[in-house]
Amino acid sequence: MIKKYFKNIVWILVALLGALAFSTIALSRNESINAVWFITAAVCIFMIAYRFYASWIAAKVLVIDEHKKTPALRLRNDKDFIPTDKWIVFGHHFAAIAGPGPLVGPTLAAQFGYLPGMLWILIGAVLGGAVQDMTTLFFSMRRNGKSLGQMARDEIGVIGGTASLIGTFLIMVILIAVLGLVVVNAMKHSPWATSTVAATIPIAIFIGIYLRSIRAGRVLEASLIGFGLLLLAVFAGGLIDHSQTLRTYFDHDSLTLAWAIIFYGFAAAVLPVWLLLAPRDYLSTFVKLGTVIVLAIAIITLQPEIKMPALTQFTDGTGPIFGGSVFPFVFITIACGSISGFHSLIASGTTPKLLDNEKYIPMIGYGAMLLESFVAIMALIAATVLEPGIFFAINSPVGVVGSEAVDAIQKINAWGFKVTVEEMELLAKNMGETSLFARTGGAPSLAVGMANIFGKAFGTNLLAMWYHFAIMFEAIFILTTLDAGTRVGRFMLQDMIGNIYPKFGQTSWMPSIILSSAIVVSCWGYFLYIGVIDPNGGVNILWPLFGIANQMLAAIALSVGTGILIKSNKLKYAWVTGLPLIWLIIVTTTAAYQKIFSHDIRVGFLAAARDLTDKINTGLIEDSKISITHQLIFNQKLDAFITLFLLIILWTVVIDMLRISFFKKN
Amino acid sequence: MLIAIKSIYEFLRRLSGDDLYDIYLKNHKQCSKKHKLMSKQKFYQATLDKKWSGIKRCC
Repeated sequence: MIKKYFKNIVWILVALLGALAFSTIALSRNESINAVWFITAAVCIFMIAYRFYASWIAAKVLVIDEHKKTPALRLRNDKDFIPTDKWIVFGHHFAAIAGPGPLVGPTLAAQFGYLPGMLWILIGAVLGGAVQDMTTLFFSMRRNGKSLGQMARDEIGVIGGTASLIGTFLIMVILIAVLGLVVVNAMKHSPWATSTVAATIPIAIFIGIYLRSIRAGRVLEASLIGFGLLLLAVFAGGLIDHSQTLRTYFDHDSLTLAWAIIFYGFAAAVLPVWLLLAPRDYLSTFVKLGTVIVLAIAIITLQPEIKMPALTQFTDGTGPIFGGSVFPFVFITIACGSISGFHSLIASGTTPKLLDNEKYIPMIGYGAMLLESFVAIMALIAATVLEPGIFFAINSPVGVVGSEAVDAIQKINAWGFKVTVEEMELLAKNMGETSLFARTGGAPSLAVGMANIFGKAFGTNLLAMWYHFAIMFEAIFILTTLDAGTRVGRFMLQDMIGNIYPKFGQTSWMPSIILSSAIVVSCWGYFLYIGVIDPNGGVNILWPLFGIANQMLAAIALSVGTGILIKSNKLKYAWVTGLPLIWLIIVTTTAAYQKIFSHDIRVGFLAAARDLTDKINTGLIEDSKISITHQLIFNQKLDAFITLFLLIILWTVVIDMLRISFFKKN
Repeated sequence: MLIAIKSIYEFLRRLSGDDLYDIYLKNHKQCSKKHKLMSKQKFYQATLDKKWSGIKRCC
């Protein structure tokens, strides 16, 4: 009895502390706020949500039955269906959902100030993302581990199934392109960053050989060795940077680096997984977990002040990193970390075939997503502890602030954010770079933020090392996603073309591997190339497009969930998935509409295409740039078409779900 | 103290999949006589093939 009261008191205290932290963040204006409030709010809210909301959904909405045999037990074949320890499943599931998205999205969204991103990460994850992951996992487990595509086909119809397939492919292509762009922007004219990132490839190959032939399957020790080698690579990168001869080999412009990444992507997709992809994945998971834990400890110990205001003037849509107002674009920019449709593919992939008891569904489905959100909070903190002037100087593209440092600083000062050329030069010098201007994409500013935090915690004389460690840390994730994504696209293509020409469907047939890999790499390579030549920075186009595609997939997953709840006579609980679904429909539709039809040339694709055409017709474009401008015009129109296509898919699936749920019951 | 370090080590092994082969051996001894026992190398390769044969990584 006393124990029960004690438990209740503890939960009441957690709730009160969470409410205090949340209201402090939400109500704080024009005064500095400590990052510890962010962590406190996140931890308390996530604890309460997990303990009460996830448990309630499990007990009342899904009616989880711990005595029911799971597919892993019923269909056990020791190939796909294998009853597995819950912690292993958690590790697999978290590693699978945790990509670079939660690091990049919150950093980009910080242009609106810390508040919109913070609120959306906390609320979106608790009421949307974690619910989506958990319900999809449950529904898949109750359907013998079926995939989202299969469930969409069964529950909504062929349209739903096909839509999820096309959506997945599109997300993959756009995601890889934009992540490639982030890496390119971090590496351009940076011999230290380029050499360190390049070194991760032979290190991963060495670990691959170690794990396969020297000490088979010894993941833990191999990861430790790999981690040591990665640190060595960061250190060696510094030596290369200081050598006048060696640094020239790694000093390249954006376009050369983009071609290098395209070539690398093709090679990595064709190579066997044990050689490059799998070992780097082990390394990146360990480095990510380790870095986030150390970052959390450093933030709690140092208690840094957040420098970014709660809201900036860019909430009106004039932001330099990407155009568009806070509604709907903060909800599109932060997908991973709040709600990500991609997760539903994982929650209906391997995970439902491994769990040996339904009672672990909240822990895996809901819990892993909360951990992912925590990573997003860390990224937001690292970006917002920077002086806003520095944040915008690093992230504003040349097309917005100009290519000269003086012009960029003047413009940023005119926005009301203090920063000087000397400060930026000193910062670049401290970070071991020649310039940090126009490194759009989030990775470098996040790295500067992390380096500052780590520098304060462990000594400022190693700032450049910390900066390049953070760049390497982000790059290994991005490259893993790039390999894995290209491979997934390849499998999908092989599967599709295999329906017409069966031989092509054999995933190990080399001509099929080479041709399908080349097609997938060409698709994302095209968007990467355009992103690099676009003076406004391709991030302005590609990241919102990725967000729209990802949220559309989340809407499909939530449509499947809502449809199942309605059909199984649980209409009164349908709001659990229905509310986030309605929100995503509103957000995605508004964002897609604005991206196509807005008259603002930094938002609307068609307006931007018209503007460029007018500039060519009136002779405002130099002759040497006319050909590139035509490519940009074509790309804007193509992006408008893709967005419209995604919008049509979204509405078709939603209407079909409602029709089938309410009118086709019997 | 030693027990605590050992349990953290065991937990990390479990979480990372480092002890997958040990678990496989144990399971094989207990119940699965119909399949031929795989060597460490073969088991590792099979684990990787299974892990990377579909949509296994997210954004």
